[in-house]
Amino acid sequence: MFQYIVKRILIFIPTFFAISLIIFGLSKMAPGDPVEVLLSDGPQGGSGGQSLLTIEEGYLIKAKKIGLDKPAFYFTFTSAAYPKDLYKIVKMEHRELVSRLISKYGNSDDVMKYYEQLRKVLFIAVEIPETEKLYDIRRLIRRNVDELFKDFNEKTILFKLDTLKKAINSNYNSALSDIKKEIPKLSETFSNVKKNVSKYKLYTPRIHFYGFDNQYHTWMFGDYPWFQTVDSSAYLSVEKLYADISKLNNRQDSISRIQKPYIAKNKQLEEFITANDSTKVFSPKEIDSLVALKESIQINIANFNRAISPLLKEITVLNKEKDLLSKRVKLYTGKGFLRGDFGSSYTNGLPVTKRLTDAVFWTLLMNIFSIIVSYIISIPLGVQSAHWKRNSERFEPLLSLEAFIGSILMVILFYAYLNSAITANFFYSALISINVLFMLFALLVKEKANQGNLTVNSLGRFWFFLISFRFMNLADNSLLILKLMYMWVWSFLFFVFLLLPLIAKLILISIPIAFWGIKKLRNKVTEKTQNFSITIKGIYAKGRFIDNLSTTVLFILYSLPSFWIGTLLIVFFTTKNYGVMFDWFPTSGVQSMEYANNPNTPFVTKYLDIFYHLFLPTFCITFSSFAYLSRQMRGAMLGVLRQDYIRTANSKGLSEHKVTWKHAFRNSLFPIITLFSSVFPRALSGAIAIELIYNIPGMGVLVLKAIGERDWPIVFTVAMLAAILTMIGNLIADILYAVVDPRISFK
Amino acid sequence: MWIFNKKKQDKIAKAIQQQTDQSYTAIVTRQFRKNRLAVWSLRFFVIILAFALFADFLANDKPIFCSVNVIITNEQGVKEKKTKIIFPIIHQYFVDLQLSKWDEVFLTQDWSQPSESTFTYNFVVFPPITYRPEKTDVANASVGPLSKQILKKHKSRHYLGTDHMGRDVASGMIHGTRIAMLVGIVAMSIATFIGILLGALAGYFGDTRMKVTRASVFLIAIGIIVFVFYAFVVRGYIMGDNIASGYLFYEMFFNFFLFVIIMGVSYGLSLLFKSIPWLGSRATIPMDIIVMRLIEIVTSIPVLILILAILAIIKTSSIFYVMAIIGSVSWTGIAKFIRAELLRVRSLEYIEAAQAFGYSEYRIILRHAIPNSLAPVLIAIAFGIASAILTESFLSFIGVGVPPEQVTWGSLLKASRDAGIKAWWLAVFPGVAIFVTVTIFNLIGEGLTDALDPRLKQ
Repeated sequence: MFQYIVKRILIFIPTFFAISLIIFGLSKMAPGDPVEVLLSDGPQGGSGGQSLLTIEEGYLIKAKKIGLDKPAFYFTFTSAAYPKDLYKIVKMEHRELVSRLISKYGNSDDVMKYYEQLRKVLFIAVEIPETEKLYDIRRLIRRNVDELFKDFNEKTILFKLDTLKKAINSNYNSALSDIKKEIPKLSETFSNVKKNVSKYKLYTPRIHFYGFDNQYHTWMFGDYPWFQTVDSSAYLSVEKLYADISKLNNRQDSISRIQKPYIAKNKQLEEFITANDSTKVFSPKEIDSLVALKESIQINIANFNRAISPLLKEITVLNKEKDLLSKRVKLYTGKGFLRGDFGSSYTNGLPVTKRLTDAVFWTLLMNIFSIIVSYIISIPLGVQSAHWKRNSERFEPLLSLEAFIGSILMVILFYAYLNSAITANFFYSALISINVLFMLFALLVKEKANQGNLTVNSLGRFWFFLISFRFMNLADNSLLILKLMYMWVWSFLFFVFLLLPLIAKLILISIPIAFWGIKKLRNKVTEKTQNFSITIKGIYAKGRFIDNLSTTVLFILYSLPSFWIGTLLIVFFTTKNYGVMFDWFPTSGVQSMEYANNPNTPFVTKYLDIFYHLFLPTFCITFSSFAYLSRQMRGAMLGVLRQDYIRTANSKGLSEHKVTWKHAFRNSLFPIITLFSSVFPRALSGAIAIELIYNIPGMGVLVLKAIGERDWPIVFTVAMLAAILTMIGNLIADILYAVVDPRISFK
Repeated sequence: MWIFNKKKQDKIAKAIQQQTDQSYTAIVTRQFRKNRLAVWSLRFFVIILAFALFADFLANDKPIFCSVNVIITNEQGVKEKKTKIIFPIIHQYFVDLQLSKWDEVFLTQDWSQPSESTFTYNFVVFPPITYRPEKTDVANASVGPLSKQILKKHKSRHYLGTDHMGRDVASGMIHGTRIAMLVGIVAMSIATFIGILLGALAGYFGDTRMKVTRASVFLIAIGIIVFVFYAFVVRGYIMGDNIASGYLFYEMFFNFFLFVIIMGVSYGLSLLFKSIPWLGSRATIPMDIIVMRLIEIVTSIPVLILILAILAIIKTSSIFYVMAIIGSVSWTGIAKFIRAELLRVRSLEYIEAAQAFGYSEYRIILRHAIPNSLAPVLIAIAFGIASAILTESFLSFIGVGVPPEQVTWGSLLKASRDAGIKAWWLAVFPGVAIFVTVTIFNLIGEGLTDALDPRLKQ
């Protein structure tokens, strides 16, 4: 057994890494620049009003924080044209420009030169003063340069370079002298790119190795040391320093932006004075006023300088400190997936784990409840319906007297509660007591049938059933749950019948009577062909009839799309639009605001409220899996009951009960066990639409929201976790298989 | 008289033959016919298929057939009246194929109410539903099937109501049939192709039977690397751009042919190296283990989440991506089926006989083994179509992957969520369509399972 488990886990590991590779590949192919998403919604706010250099620095810091400054994988398999350190261009857009150009021309050196020149032009273009005269040309240059970063088409690049050249040559402003020098160089570098095409390099494969310091390794294993703790205070202080510096940079930027027009004005004034000095056309008065103006401007500039200089000092000091610290402390990206660090969300910077835990709670709450309910009901139902199929001529209870009384009582209770004739407390307590009494009664009837008379022991077994873990006892008593379910189904049918208008009631009653009459006329019904027998103990029907009924209902339940049923239920049973009596459940959400916000709410009230809110969604995710499980169980039971050893057991004279539960039951559990492995992924993905419809903040809604916001860490973490859960489910199923069936060898 | 006699005799002979025909197909057909529900669902499937094929003739804002009086100004400037007979819907097909053009008179024309100056109807036959699914009818936004509707001449009622933008639900459901069928068939063809290929390799060869020369192992491995390099590294950006601009299937075929050519070349080369002693000796490839691991990997990631993750990274949304993705993740069931079947078939005598004849392995697989194990795949295909349709409607219900202007059953159901809670017709009818279609395919699958189950043969 131990060997088997170890072997199974050894198979688990390569599969796990293959899946992690697939998901990592998908996450790398996801569109959009994650750093841009981080910057646009990050805690520091928008990037308006910062200088280009500051923005780039901020970008780099963010990219480093999520480890994007590293190569993607342990190696790359590319053509020889691509340089090994292409990953060092961190900005996604720029990297794409370079790699696309290389993929076209094959000469990485020239492309890199072109890219460097383009960056240089960009930095100069940003510095063009924002005066009225230069407004148009500044905009034109900025637009063209920005577009050149996204342009891979030769013709449009040439066209843009041409328009840049023309625009600059037609303008004779001194402020454009720098850019005037650089633009021809840019065209020259691009013509070099075109000239030195080396396509043969593109078609030669090459492998570059990067070692362990790469994105996949960091994502999976983390770059945080495994066995030693890191001085977190120093780590935090580096982060804080980064934040401080960027704040100071912002302040410096904003001050110098206000200062800029003054400097420009001063310069203009000086030029004006020097130009007009020789002609001496000014009167002394005018000169005095000019000088006064000049002085005032200079004072302003000096003031600004005074304001900036401590900032600059502070920045240099901080920078030094940062350098010192960052030499001592390494900035780690994270602990890696295997150590439970799933990275941080792009949209709000919170760790993925934190966002997941809130969502997981609701999803798990619904799903665990749904799984338990569907297993508890479907196993006895499957066994029972196999019996109906086998004993198709025997009369089985369709509606027993006790179920009839119980369901009528429940209908009265519902009706009274919905008309607010009774209080909620009375309603709940009466409901619970009806159910308990019914269970007790059914148990007593069963014990009497089994033993002939009632003993104290049989009452004790009722409690034993509640805490029983063994299969046999659970199975033995599980038919009671089936009876309880009958009662609920009947009470639901009665209740719906009660609420229907009179005409519908008459039609519903007349249909079976008409069928019965037609059949009677045709067949001259004798005792043998009769399908129903109505006695004082209840309505009995032949096994064949009940089997057909139950398989049809189960089949319909199985093929009903759960998101449709969810929509229907929310349309018809949560509002008063279609009848005052149909407003049974809350429209959406997981709990009422009054209970959620009040910390003094009693535990029971709170969870009853949650149960009330989650009833419909849980029903929606339960019914299809319940039907599926029951059908599987029925098929397996029929298969087992057809076998020889069951015939032997029957012919020995064992009671049918014993044959079913002692001999056949265990062997019929295989399909159910196999299905156990698919329970986990269904729990995650099956609830997506239901959560969306009922507005439950679970995993499904989280994933959908994350896809909308391009918050990839969440999406791919959920995919990864789902895959791991499925694999664990498979593992558990395999082991359970071995436990149930001793024939399975562990070789 | 002998003719009648012969006819009668033929009939009797046929009946006897049908009774005694013990071929596998005959038994299966007989078993399938016994299941009345399955037979009826097969008939229903044909009806739905007809709906899908003739959707344009059932719900369209153009007439099916009309004779019109057109007023034409001739060269002399005299206005002339001309009678014309046209089939606008069929004509539209020709226009779409760029084989024909619309006359100017008809170009910007509301067909139900032509203005007096252009043309008038002599005789006209409109489809039963005179709305296209994406056409909005603002006057009748969010009206129910039973409530009062403002209708113009030649316009049918909104039999099943409209959504909040005034789009006809009945028309959307009829055109949605086309999408659902397309999704089911295209996705399952992709899945069947992959599934049969891999499942047959795994089942027939198993872990021990695939013996290949070392030369071909090495050369085929190199061939795969070369293919990956040229298809995805060198042509990476070109392929991405092509897929983004809608040439997905072109790229798929191109890559497939590239793969076949490179594999062919490397296999041919391996024949040359066979004569070298070390390279010529045979190595065993555990095909079964490889394929089973692959299946385990694909099934480990929950299908819906995998589809969502893949759809999330595609920039432009199209129904064809949804089909391709559903197809490429749902082949595992088919592969498992055909593997199990081939495990049984490969030890039968006739396969041994074929081997004794010296037929090549691929001939045995393609001509002898696969045709005899295809029947159970039908079960997987029937259930697969059901789940593909369900997946597609689920995706359009949550609004992922399917373009918003595309009207499908799922998007109609989604509209019930958008339109608010009062539109019961939006919640009920598209759901019924999904439910009925899914049920039909499930029933066919059930029928096939029962018919193909050897235990029920007696």
